[in-house]
Amino acid sequence: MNSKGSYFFLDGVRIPFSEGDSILAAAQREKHYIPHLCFHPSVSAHGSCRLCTVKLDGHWVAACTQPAKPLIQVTSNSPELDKKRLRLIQLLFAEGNHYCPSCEISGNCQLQALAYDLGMTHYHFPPLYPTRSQDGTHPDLFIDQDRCIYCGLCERTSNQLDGKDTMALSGRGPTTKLIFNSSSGEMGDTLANSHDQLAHICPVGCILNKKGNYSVAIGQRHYDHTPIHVIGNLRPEQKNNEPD
Amino acid sequence: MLFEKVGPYTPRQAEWSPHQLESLLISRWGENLGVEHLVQYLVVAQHHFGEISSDTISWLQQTTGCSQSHIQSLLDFYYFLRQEPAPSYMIYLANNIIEQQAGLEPVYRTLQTKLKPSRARLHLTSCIGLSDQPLSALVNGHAISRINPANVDELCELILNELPLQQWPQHWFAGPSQLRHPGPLTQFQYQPGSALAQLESLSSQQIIDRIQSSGLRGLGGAGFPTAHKWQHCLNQSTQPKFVICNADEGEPGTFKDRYYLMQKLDAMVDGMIIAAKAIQASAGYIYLRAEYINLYSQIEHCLQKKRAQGWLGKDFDVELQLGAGAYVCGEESALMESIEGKRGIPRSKPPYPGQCGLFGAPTIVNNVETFVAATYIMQQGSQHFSQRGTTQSKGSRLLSVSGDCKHPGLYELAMGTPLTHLLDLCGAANTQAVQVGGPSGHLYFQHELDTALDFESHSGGSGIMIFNQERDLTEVAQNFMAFFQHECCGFCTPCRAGTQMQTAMLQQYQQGKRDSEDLIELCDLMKTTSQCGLGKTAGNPLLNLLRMETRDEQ
Repeated sequence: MNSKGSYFFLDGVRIPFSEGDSILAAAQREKHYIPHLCFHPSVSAHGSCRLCTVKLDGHWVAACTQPAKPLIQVTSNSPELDKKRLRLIQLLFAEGNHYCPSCEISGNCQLQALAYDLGMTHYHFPPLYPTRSQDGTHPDLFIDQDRCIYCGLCERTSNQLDGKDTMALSGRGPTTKLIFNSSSGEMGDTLANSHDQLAHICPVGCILNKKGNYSVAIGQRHYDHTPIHVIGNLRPEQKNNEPD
Repeated sequence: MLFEKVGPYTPRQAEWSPHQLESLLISRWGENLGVEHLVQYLVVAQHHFGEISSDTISWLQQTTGCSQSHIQSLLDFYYFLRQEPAPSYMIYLANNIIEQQAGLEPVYRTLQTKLKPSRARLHLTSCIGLSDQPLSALVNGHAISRINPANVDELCELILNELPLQQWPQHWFAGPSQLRHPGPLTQFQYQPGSALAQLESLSSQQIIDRIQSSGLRGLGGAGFPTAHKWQHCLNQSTQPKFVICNADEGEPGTFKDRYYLMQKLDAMVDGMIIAAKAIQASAGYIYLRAEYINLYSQIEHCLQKKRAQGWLGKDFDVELQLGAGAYVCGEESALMESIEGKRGIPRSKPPYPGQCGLFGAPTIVNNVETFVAATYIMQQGSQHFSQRGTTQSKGSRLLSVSGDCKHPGLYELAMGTPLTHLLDLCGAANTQAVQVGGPSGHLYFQHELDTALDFESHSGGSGIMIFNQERDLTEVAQNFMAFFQHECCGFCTPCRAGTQMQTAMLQQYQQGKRDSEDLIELCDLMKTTSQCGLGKTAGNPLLNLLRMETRDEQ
């Protein structure tokens, strides 16, 4: 079915969409920013981070999985929603171990960028200081699960873009973790390499390239001077306004 | 049969052999062993060989073409799947609040101490559907009830002497829960197959119309109108379509489905056949929780009998599948993921199962009791059902009563019955509060006990746990919070982090370091932004506790 000419309203603005679009996909195409971490237009939607929660007909829905429908009224930009998003970001910070000042990805990190954008000044929640694993067995990639937010972007990217099935989300509840698809269970024995899209998709500092992390100095990175709601979710090496 | 009498949690029945595993799996699923039954393959392998060995994992990888990480992710997700070698006895001791209050702690300590030199392994698990006869445990898949300080030594002796379960005294094994107050659904005389005779002359639409006029709503607790669900699925033009019976009764304090599975199995399966005709489905599944493995062979026999009678196997057949220890799989979309051989992570909705469900096909998922009710309605007529109950909640349903009362057990009561009436019937005295609908439900305090038990009052769940004045309601909330934290699937931020944070914040609150507003805000965040019903309701126990404190202040 062709629904060319269909549109909905996001915070009162007309957003055209095509059949099969989610609210977030359509909005992103039109350069209207809805905060998100686990969404990327090149892979299937996940709906796990819940940052893109919006209000539709009095219901709270995830914009990345909610289908766009003609003439629906969607609210994204409201103090109520930003408060919820701030709390979700704080939950992610308190749940893991995040050390922005010494993190290689600082300034390009989408979690950090959203924290700044939403005005986060403190954790709010008691930090849980979990014990999580690291994996340095791969020659080019380092995995630090302290910083993982379980968005599953790496799993989907490896499956859907690289065709490699390198990793998977495993465990459940508090024991949720990333595991690697190799007989040893180590990242070094997977098929992944640094040219894979997987190596560049992590929105935080969980999948790190071992080389070149400081080729752009801290202070000159994406979000050092421009908020994420202006330039959107960019991979570290992606240029501003470069399409995904 | 894949599971004789007991479950997959038994000591090794056979030495590992790829041929034996292959023939077992082929006997059920045919020559093409695909990844879509991976969870079932693991359950079968564990049952027969005692554990999921690395040999089993390699063999499954080669045979199904699945990845190592796929299998590992299942082993990490499902609580009852195990890689370590099988112990002589695998004991899962139930630790819901009812068991906790019935003296779990000393009995658990005794078992721990006495069984230390044995080859048995002891674990705690949530409710196993025997809250009316605490303390209870699963021993190699068998349901054992009424363990207490006086007989725990005897239990230890049986285990230490490694007496085969077949030789244990009969009194240890739990029968069906006692039906204290029968009603139409539990009492109607049902001649197996009799409700099906008339299906020949009825169209799909006529069946749905009859269900519609009965006013039947989903008896799993959510109360979604059954006819509406079926109609939506009938309206889909694609084939195949599926009927799923949700027998994953995991809500702590609930044991009514266990009763129906033991006592009204024919009516339940016939309800599935009625539903299949109504939505024009060709295949069905019963998803049985791992804890009810002891009912497996009974259900399988019933299905075989119906195949022999011609009710199943031609236009419509039903496959019995086992869960592997995950409360979240009671959520319909997580259940379908599990049937598809994946971790039980709930799906985002829309699309709804009626349109895009199991394997992407239109699917209805109904609770055990709902199918029994459908059979009742087809046999007795819509009016017999709808004449009871309230305007919005028709008929009756079976309540699971446990905790502080003289007569714990099952009570079939008309929808809308006041909670106070139930408390009188079951001999509850000195009641402080009643949890209705399990941990995800609502806690009613003394001044609220006149609430009606129906969907309008959001009291649709079956599990009723009664707490008298002696009980510490903080313990109740903490038990439920620990339960949700353990059973959270880990998918979405608010539930995964929120269920952990609740516990930490409650502690801060008790130390006077945290305002109640922060706790309420967290519960609201979980309720409004979580992906599925588990996360949306996981804050309820904490909210109930805070409500009690404000009540006390007033």
